[in-house]
Amino acid sequence: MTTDGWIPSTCGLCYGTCSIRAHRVDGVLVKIEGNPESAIGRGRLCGKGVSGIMTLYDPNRVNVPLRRTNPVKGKGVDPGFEEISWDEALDEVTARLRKVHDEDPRKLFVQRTTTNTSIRAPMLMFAAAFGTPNSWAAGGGLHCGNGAHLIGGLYHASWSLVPDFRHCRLAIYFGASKGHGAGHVACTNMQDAADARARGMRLVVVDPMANFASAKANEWVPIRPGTDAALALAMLDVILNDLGVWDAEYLARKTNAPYLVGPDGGYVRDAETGKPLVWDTARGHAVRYDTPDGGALALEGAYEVAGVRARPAFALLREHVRQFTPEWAERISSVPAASIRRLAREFATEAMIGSTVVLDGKRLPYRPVAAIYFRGAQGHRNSVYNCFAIELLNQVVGAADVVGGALGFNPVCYGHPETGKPWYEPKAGPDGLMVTGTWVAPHLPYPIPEPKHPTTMSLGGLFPLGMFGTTMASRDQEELWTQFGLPYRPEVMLNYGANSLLSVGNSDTVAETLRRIPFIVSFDITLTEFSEFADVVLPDASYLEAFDSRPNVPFIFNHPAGLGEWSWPVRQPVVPPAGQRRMAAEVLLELVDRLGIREEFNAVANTHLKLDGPHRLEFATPYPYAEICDRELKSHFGAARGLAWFKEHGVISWPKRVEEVYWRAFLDVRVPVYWEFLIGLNRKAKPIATAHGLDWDDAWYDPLPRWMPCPSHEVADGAFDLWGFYYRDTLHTNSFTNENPWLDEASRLDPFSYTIALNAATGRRKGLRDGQEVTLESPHGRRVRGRVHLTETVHPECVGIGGCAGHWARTLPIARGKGVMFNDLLEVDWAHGSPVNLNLDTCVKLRVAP
Amino acid sequence: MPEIRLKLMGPLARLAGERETRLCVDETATVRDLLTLLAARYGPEFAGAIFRAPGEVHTHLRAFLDEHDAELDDRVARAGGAAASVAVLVVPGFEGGRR
Repeated sequence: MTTDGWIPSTCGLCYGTCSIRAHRVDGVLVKIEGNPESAIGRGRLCGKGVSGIMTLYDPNRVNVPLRRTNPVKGKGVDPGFEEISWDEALDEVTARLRKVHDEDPRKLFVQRTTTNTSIRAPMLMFAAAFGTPNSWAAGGGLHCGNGAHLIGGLYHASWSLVPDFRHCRLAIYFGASKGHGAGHVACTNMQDAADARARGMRLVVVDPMANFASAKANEWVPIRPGTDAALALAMLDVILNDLGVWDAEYLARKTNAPYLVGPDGGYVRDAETGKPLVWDTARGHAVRYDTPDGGALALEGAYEVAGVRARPAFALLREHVRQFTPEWAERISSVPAASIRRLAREFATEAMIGSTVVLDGKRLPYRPVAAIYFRGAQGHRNSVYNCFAIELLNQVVGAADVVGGALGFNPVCYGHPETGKPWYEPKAGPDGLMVTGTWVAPHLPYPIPEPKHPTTMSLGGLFPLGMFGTTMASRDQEELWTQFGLPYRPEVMLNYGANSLLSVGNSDTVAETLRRIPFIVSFDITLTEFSEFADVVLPDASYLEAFDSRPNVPFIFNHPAGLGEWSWPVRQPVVPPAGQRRMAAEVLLELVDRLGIREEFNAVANTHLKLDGPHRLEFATPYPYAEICDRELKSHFGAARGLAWFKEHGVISWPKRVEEVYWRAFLDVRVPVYWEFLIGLNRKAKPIATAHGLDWDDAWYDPLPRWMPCPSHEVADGAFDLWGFYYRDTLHTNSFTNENPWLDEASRLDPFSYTIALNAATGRRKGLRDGQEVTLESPHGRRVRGRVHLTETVHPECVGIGGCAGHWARTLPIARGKGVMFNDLLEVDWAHGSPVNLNLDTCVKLRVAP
Repeated sequence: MPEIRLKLMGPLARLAGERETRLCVDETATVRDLLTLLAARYGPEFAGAIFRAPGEVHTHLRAFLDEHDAELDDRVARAGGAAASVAVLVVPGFEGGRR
C-alpha cells in the first residue's frame, strides 16, 4: 500500500530557514514546497529550497566515519581516508579533546557554517561547556556583519534591518539586497518588497552592480566599492546644513543628540550621579538627560556648564558633516554631486517629519523613508563608519522603528498570548543608551566590554566592537599571536559543515593556518576542500534527516519584520538518516558525556535555551537532544506543546502587536548619534596595542563618522585599474550549494553565476570579447581565471564575481572547475583588517589580462 | 559564616585553577559580593572574565543557586546554614531575554 504524506519542516539551504512542507511517498521525498501556515516564507520557497531533494539524495554523501591515513596535508592532497566505526572515530576524537580540555580548553577551535543555522546552538553550547572562547563562523562576520550587525544592534536592537515594506515610500539600499535575494527572511521579504514596489515604494539602490535589487529598483546609483560613507556623509551635509531638516523631537528624546559634550570630546556629566547633562532651554540650565518632564532640550548652541564650554552632540554632528560636501564625495565615490543633492533632498522630503498615523487605535510617528545597509557597505575595513554614516540618515529624520521607516528585525517580542514567551525588549543601559533585549554574537553591541590584553585567537578582547577577527585564519596569525604572547595554540579543530578554504580569503593562506592545527574533526555531508584537511570526518544527517526546536530563533536573526504574525516552526526528519549518518547535535552530546562536561552543558543549555520551571535540565542528568528540544518548546508554549505537538503541526503562530513592531515610540531608550564611548575605548586599547607593536591611528576611533580608505583605495600602481568585489548569487548559499545539480544547471544557464562581470565599454576598451577567458590579478600577485561577461550592469571601474564558486575538490564532481573563487584574490592579514572591529576588507584592486 | 559549595564552569575553572571548592561567606552576601570575592581571590584575568568594567558584571555571565538562575542581588547562603551550591559560568553567544 502506498503511504503518502506532507511533513512540515524547515529549509536548511541558507540561513533564511523558510518553513517548508515536504511530500513523502513510500518513504521517499518527492517534492518540497513552502509552508503557507508559517510567516517565515508564507508558502514561498526559492530555487535553492526546492532543490534540497538533490542534496538529500546526493550519491556522494558521506555515509560512514572516515579517518585520514595520509599525514601530509595540503590543497588537493588526497587524505587517503579509510572507513572506521563510530566507536573508533569518537574514541579518537574524545582522546584528543580530553587532552586539550585537561591542558587548556582554549586549544579547541570551533568552526561552523552559517548555511545550516540549526547547528548554531549545539556548537555554541558545546564550546561554552568545554571552555573555549575560540569559535567562529568561518568567515561569517568578517565578510558580512562585524559592522552591519554592530550598527543594527546599536540602533535597532536587531541583527539587521529592512524598510517597513507596508508603509515605506522611499528606501535607499546601500549594498543591500533585502527582499531581492537570499539570506535573512529571504522568501517573505521578496514578496513584501515586490508588494511594496507595486504599491509605489520608490527603491534606490547604491551598489557597484545592478543585480538583484538594483534591477528591480527605480534607480541604480553606481558607486565605487567601500565608499558608502562618503556618499552618506555628503547626504547628511545636504540634509542638515543645506536643507536644515531634522526631526528635533526624535533626536531630543530618542538619541544622545542633546547630550552636552565638553572640549575633551566627553560628555559633561552631573557631578553627583555621573549622568550626562543636557541643556533645558525652558529652565535655562543644564539638567540630567533623564530628568522627568524635561523641557525643550537644546540640540544647537553652546553653553557654559560646570566651568566648561559645552555643545550638544547634534551641534557637533552638524558641524562635523559640513566638511563632507557632495563635490568631495563625488571624487571618492564617483556618484555625481548633483545626484547626491537630489537623493538627500528626496530622502528629507519623503520623511514627512512631524507626520503621524493611527494604527490599531494608537497614534504613531510616520516617517516613510529608510536607509538600509548590508554586505556591500559593510564588507570593508571601514565597515563601522560606512554603516554608522548610513544609519545616521535614518536617525536625523527619525525614521527608525516607526511606521514607514527602517525597521529592525523584531527587537521586541512579548510572547505567545497564552504563555508570554518568548519575551524580550531593549532597555536603557549606561548613559541611557539602548541595550538589546536579545542578541546573537558573543557580546552585546552595547555596553561594550572594556578592552583588555587579548587572550583569544581573534584578539577580540582588545577590539570589543568586533565579533570575529582575521587572525582566526590570517597570514600573520602566528606573528600576531607571538606579539601578544598568546599562551597557547589551537591543537584541535571541531568543524561543522564549513568550508573555510573557500569562505574566508585566499585559500593558500587559509590552508597554511589549517596545516598548523594538529587534529581536525569535521561533520560533513559531502567531502569538500576543507575535508581534505580533516583527520576524522563524521557523516552528518542533512537538514531533511534531522530535527531542531529552534530553526528560526532568535527572531532578530531570521523572522519577518513589520506587522503580521509571529511564527515558531520546527525542523523534523522527512526521512530517517541513511547509512551511518548521525545528527551532529546528538554526537556532540555523546562527546559531552564522554568528556564528563554534562553539568556544564546542561547549565549552558538552561540559559541559552531559556528552559524554565519543570522543563529545566538537572545539571547531572544526561538527556538526549530530542528531549532538550521538547523541553525548550514546552518552556515557551506550555506542557501540551512539546516536540510531538510540533511534529504534527509544524508551526505555532500568533499575531504581532503594534507595540512590538513600532516599539520605538513606546520604550524609553536612546541611541547614539555621537559615539562618546569610542574615546574611552581608544584611550584604553591604544596603549595595549602599541605596547605590542601594532601601529595605531586614532582616526578610526573618532566619535563621529568619516570616510576611511580601504587598502584598495591606496594602490598607487595605475596598472591595477579595476576594483574587484563579490556579490551574493541568489542561486547559491556560500560554497555549499555549488554541488547541487539543479542549481548548477540554473547557474550554467545564468549569464552571471559562473562568470566575471565587466562593464561592456571598459571591456571593449581593453579589447576583450564577451565569454573570453581572462586572468584577474591583484597587486599581491593573487590570480584567478574565468570567463568575462561584458555587461552594462556593473560600474565602469569594477569587476563583479558572484557567489563562492571555483571548487577544486575531486569529491565535488558537479561543482569542480565551475565559476570563479573571488576570495582567492583577498589578503587575510592585519593590514586588510579593520583596526576598530577586525572586519576583513573584501574589495581589491585588479588588472585584467587575456 | 555559612559555607557554600562553589562550582566554576567552562573557562572560569581554567582561570581559577580549580573547578570546585568550598567557601565561607557572610550570611548577607549576595551573588555580586561573591563574584567580587572570587575576582580578588583568583586574580585579574579571572576578574576580567567576570566584570565588563569595574563593578559591572559581564552581560553573558550567569550564576546558579542550587541549579536555579540567580540575580546579582540574590543572597548566596541558604537560610538555616546548610551549604548551598553555587555555579558560575560564562555563556558567550547567548540570546538574552529573562522571562
